[in-house]
Amino acid sequence: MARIAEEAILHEIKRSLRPDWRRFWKAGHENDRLYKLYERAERKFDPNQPRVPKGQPEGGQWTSDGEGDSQPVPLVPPRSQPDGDAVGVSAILAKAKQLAASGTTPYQRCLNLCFPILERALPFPGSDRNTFDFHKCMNACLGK
Amino acid sequence: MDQQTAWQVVRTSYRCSADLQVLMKFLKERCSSEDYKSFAKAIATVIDTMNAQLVDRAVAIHPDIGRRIESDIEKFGHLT
Repeated sequence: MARIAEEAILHEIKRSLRPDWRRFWKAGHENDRLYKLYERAERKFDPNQPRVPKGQPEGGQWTSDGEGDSQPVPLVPPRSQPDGDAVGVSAILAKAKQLAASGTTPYQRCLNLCFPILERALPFPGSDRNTFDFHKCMNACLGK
Repeated sequence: MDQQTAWQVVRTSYRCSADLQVLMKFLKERCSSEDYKSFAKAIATVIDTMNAQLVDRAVAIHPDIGRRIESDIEKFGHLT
């Protein structure tokens, strides 16, 4: 029974599967059960499977009764790069992490600029001058 | 929040900042340059967070506190 249910889900997924479905998947969740099901549905795609002819209410839908076009138009074209979108997102994330690590974010630049104020020798113990000036510097730099 | 309570928030934040600056000096004397730099930047981030999240928030509620901070720093060099 469970197998039948899974096949039914696969069938439904396959009917609505977009070629760029990975674009809408949150990065790092590729081990989710649903993701695996989508992958399975994608692998099960058969461009030669008969379809209801275009122009009919069910046009383009999968069929198994041999009433399809002689040259069926696939709903879902095969992917030339199976992991293209996933790789794209990963590359962007990696770049964002690199940028953050290199201290090139506006906040990091301001911190680097204002930080020496906190290293100044205090005019007397208990002085709040450095904290005050550092605060002013950060606010000015960040445009607050 | 009344003004006295807001002032207490600001004073506590400044006191913590002062303590962290003492810690920075202590680390500079005891740690390698690399370790010091890493911790010092982290301390600066913490101080900025306190300023933004506590001091600025209190000043936003009671703008008079901003003027009092400036006045205290000018007159005494620290908050009273």
